[in-house]
Amino acid sequence: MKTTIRTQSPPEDAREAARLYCLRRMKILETAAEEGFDSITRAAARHFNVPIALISLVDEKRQWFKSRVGLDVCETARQDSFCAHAIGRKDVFVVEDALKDERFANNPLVTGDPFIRFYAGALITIDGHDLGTLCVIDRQPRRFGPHEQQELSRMAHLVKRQIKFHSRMTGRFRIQEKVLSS
Amino acid sequence: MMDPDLKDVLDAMPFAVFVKDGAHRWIYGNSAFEALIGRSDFHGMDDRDLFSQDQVDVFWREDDRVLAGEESLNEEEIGDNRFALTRKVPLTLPDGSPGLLRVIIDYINVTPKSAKDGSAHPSAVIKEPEMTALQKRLEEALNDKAQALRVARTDAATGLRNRYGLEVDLERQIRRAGQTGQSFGFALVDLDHFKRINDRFGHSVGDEVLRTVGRRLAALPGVISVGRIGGDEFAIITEEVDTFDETLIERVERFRQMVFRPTLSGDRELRLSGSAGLCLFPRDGQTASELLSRADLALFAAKRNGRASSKVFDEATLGAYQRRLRIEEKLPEAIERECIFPVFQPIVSSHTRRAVGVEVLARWTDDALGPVNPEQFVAAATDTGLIARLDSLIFRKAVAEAKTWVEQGYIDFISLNVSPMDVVSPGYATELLREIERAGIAPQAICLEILESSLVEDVSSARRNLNRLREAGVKIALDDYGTGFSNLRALLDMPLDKLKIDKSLVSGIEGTDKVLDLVISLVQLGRALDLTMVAEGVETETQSAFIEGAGCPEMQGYFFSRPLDAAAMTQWLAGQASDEPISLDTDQRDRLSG
Repeated sequence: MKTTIRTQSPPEDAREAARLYCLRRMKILETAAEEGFDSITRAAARHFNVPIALISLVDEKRQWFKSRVGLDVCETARQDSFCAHAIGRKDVFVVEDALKDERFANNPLVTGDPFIRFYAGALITIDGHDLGTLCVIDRQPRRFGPHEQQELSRMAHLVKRQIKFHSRMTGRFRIQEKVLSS
Repeated sequence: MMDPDLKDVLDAMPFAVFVKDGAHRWIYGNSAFEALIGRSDFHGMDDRDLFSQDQVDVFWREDDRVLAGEESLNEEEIGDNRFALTRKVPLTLPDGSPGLLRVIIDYINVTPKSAKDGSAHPSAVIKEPEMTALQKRLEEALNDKAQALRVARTDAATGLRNRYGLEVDLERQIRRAGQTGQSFGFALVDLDHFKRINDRFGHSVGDEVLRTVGRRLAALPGVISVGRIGGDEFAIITEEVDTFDETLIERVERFRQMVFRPTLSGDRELRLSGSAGLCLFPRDGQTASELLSRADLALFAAKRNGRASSKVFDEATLGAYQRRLRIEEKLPEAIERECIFPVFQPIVSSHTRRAVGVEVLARWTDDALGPVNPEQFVAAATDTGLIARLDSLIFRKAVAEAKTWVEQGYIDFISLNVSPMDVVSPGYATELLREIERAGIAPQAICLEILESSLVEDVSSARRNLNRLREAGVKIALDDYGTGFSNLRALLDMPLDKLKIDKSLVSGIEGTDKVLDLVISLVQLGRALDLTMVAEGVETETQSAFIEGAGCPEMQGYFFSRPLDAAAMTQWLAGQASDEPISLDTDQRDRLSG
């Protein structure tokens, strides 16, 4: 079953445009792996004992991974993305067993590699825009209680801090380049 | 040469001299005194045997003030129109009880024109218009004396009582409270780092700070006397205090914070810090010296608590002090006989969770004292000047054991704590490099953990030593960062390789987002300054996850291992060698997924 993420209502479009603008401004898409982000996915994978942990940023037509543990691809289509479902919701989006969830039972990421059964994603919200999620994924169904959700959400907070730090640093380098070239 | 017999000397004097005990009984009188009262069997008698009751009341009112510690110079009516100019001073009798010594300096005879009867009150006489020349002199002398007394009891810088004046007040309050059966509080208050304020801003600012603190102390509710009894030490006497309870402790701490709030000097805001120790009469002491020593112990305990705190004396304070004395007593021998030995705690990589180094900690178990807390014996060694020898002993023993682990590739470095006194002492770097060479280990495998406080005292000397050591390859870590000053400037100014995040931040990381934010900021800062961050005191898996998530590359704590002796550490290191570095193995999952 295909899921349509984008709705046709104009206010929704405006909000989505603002979200994408914010994401671009962070200048983080297509950047190289960084220890500051990798340490968060590693910590999440270890702490929640899952094979896959991702920092997923939801772009216009794709989700792109700033950091990933246990997954080879660096992006997937937005329409198949679990994370896109988390955008615009509150707190943590949890799918305890994808096969029992009609929204995901036929999703290619569930029926095929990486065979997702469990998904939990905590929003990465910057300046009021949900840019993506820190998510943990398992190939077996799992429960994910309020305490674990809260922990995941605090780790997502770390991601937000890193993104802001990252954008400040890139901002500074850009200014330095300008100064040097002038 | 033989000393003359004092009795003969006193008997030769024309002035009556006598001594009374606390109950006003005469216990000594010289020949002139015998002549004055006309009898020699006065021992054990008191004024009531010679004088009328209203005269006795006047005498004894004066006596009580003297017994409470005040000197006096006064006239006393000793017969019809006859007055004695007397000086009375407090005297401690051989059995330790208070007494008084009285010397009659002069006799005054007055013949008032309107003499009604012989029982005129002395003060009424003084006010007579026709004063004799002697009376005028007497009045002047009294005024001078009163002035002199005020000066002798006043601290010039602050206008508060000085040590002597405060003690006089304390004695008086003890007497008063003893009579009414009331309890009162006595506190010592100490301004931290006063020397630094003087050094940085000059003595006029220093004096201003003292005056401010004095004013604030005097303005506290219930305070009846404030004295400055040392350079940066104050004492206060309070009015009646209800019995000891938790609210008293809270009140004292609230007052302490009020007194040591920031102050303005010119347009500069000065931050003040100070400690306080309080004890209660009669619960903790019945005499001035007991109260002073109890309050001092409480203050000592408050300072040991990391300064800027307050403490109300209790039995534990006394016990801790006595233990501290015994530690100081037994420490030299313990060092001499090498009874203090190193233990090791692994420092692991956040990523691989395998050891990258060990921190060396000292342990001492005494036959009589049992296990002695390292903080306590390190403090004792610092105060008794033995710290350099202790550090050197631990260095030799630790490196001898840990060298093997470095050689076998289990760890990269051995981390040792260095006392602030060592770091600032000239020649320290040379001495340590010599020891490193003697131990046969590469300087690159040695990391020294220093405290921020070693940088405050003598920055240039500390920097010389640290630069010298770093040039030789030794790593320098700043310990306990996130407590105390946590001066950002120090990170820029000092030659550092590592920053150790204090366990108080680590333990708070699960609780509040603020602490988590602070830790990630510290890590980002450390990364910008090219410092390796190490988190201390990691006790739970969750803490380790957030520390790792915050990007801190190294950590240590009970979650990984408590400090182990050399044999156990060897085993621990060998044990981890067979583990997989990061285990994301699905078989282990059931444990958590439940």
